[in-house]
Amino acid sequence: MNDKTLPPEFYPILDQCLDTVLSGQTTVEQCIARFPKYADPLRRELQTALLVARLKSPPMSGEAVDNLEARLRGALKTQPHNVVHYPFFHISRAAAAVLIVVFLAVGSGAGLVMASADDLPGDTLYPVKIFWESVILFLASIFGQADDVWLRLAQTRLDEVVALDSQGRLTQDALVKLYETTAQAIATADTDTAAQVVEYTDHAEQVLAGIQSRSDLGGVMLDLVGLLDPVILENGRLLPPADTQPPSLTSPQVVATNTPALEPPTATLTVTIGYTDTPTNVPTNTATLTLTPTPSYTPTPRIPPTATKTPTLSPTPTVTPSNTPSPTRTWTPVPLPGGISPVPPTESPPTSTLRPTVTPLGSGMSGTFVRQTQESVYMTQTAGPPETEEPTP
Amino acid sequence: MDRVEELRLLRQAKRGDADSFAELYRDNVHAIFRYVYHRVNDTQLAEDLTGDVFTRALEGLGSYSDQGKPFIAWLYRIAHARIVDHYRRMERRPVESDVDDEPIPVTLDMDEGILRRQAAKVLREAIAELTDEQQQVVILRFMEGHRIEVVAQIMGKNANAIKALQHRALRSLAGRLERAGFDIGGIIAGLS
Repeated sequence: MNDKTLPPEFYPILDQCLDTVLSGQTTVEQCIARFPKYADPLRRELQTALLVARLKSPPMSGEAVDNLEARLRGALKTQPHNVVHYPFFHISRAAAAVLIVVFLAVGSGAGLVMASADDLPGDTLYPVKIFWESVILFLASIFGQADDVWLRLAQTRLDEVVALDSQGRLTQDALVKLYETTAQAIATADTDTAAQVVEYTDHAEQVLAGIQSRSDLGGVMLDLVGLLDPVILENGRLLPPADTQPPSLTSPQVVATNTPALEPPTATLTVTIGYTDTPTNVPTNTATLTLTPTPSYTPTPRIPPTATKTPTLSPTPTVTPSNTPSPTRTWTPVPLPGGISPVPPTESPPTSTLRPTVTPLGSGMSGTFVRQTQESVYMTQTAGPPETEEPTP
Repeated sequence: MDRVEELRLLRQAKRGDADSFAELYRDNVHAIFRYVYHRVNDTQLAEDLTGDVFTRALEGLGSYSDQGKPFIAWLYRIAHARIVDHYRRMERRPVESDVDDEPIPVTLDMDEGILRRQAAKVLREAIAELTDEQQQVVILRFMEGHRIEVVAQIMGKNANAIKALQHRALRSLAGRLERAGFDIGGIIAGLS
C-alpha cells in the first residue's frame, strides 16, 4: 500500500501496535499478522520507532545537577516568597471590567464601598462591605467565575477572624461565616481552582491553630478543622462538604408526639422533626409513619425528646410507611443582599464509593504515566504558548 | 513521585521551601535534560538550557496553577519555549552533533557496530530536521516512553492529532534512513 495514501484509520492501528511493540508485549511481525492490510507501512514505522527508542543520550553530569541545584536554592532565598494570598479585589479581568462600570454607576457611593473594605463584623460599614461582596459574587456568577470569588471571600473571612481575635472580638458568628464561605469555595472549586483552594485550606489550618481556644467557640472551631482537609477526587475536583453550615449548629432536635391506638390494630405515629438552623432559618418537616402491627402488638414507641435524627421504636413492628420515612429537609439559605442564594448543600453525605485521592502517577523518569486522560479538561485550558513566550502557568 | 506528593511539594515550594523545590527538581531534571539534549544534540548546550528551564520554573512558580496536569508537563513546555528561542537567536537549526565526523557511506562489509553508530547519527540528524511538533512527539513518545494521552496533555493537542504526528514523523525518519542506505530491519535484527 502506498504510504502517501494511508487513510486515517491507520493512525490508531499504528498507535496500538506502537504501545504493544515498544512495551515488548508483541513483536512487529505479530502486529503485522493482525493488520496484514498495512503490513509494509507498519513494518517500516514500527521498526523505526524501535530504533528511535534505543537512541541514548548522555546523562547530565552529577556535578552539573548539583551545581544547578545550589544555584536554584540561592535564587529561592533571594526571591520573595510566593505567599498564597488572595486580595479581595483581585478577580478576573472580565469581572473587573464590569465592576468598573458598576463603580462608575454607583458614583459617590464608590467611596463608601472602598471605605468599608477593611471593616470587621460589628463595624459601622461592615454591611456595606457584605453588600458589595454579594454584588461581586452575582457578577462573577454571570461570568462563570463564582469559584474564584468564593475562594477570595473565604480568604477575606479568614483575615477578619484573625483581626477579630487580635482585638479580642472574635465571635462564633465570624467563625460560622468563615465556615460557610470555605465550604462554598470547596464545593464550587473546579479543576483550575482546586489546587488554590487546597493551598488556602492549608494556610487557614495554620492560622486557626494560632487562635486561642475558647469553650464557646469549640464546636464551630472543630467543624472548621474537619472542613480544612478537603479530599481531592480523581477528576481533579474537590469532594464537596456535606453541608455549608457547621454541623455542630445544624444537629436536629427531635420532638415526638404519638397517639397510639390500642384498638383497632392500626396505629398512627406522627413524628415531627424540626431542624434548628441559624436563628434566621427554622425549616420544619413532618414525616408520618403508619404502623400496622399484629393483633398482639401494642405499639408504644418511645422517641427521645432530645437530638436524635431517627426515632427508635421498640418493639419494631412491620412498617408500612405512607410517606417517605426520611424527612425531606428544606434548606433555606441565609439570604444575601441582592437575593443571591448560596449553593445548597447536598442532601446526604458522600458515600464511600467516592475515592479520596487521585490515581498516583508512576515514576516520570521511567516514562509511563498512569493518570487517565484529562483531554476534555486540558482542551479548556489556554492553548500552548506562542513560540517565544513562556508557557502560561 | 505520586501526584498527591507532587501537589504537596508544590504547595511547600510556592511558600519558599527550598527543600521541596529541590525535590521536585531532582525528580524531573534528568527527563528535561534528555528532552533538551535530543532536541539540540549538544551536551553543554543541553545543560545550559536545562538550567534555564528550572530557573524560569522557579520564577514562575508563584503563579503556577496545577490545572490537573503533572508538573513535568509544564516543565516540558518551558523547555520547548527555551529551545525555540535558542534556535531563533541562532537563526538556524543546528545539524551537527557532539560527533564532528561526516557520515560514512554504508557498505555491505561494514562492521555492525559502526553500522549501528552510523544509523544512530543519521537518525539524530533526521530527528533534528523534523518539525518542532514531530520532534516533540518522537522524543516524548518513543524516547521518554510517555503514553499518547500524556503527550497530548504536554503538547496541548488531542490524542488523534498526536497519532497523526507520530505517523508522519516515523514515515519521515524511515525514509531518511532508507535513502542513506540502511536496512532498518537488519539493524533491528542485529540489536536483538
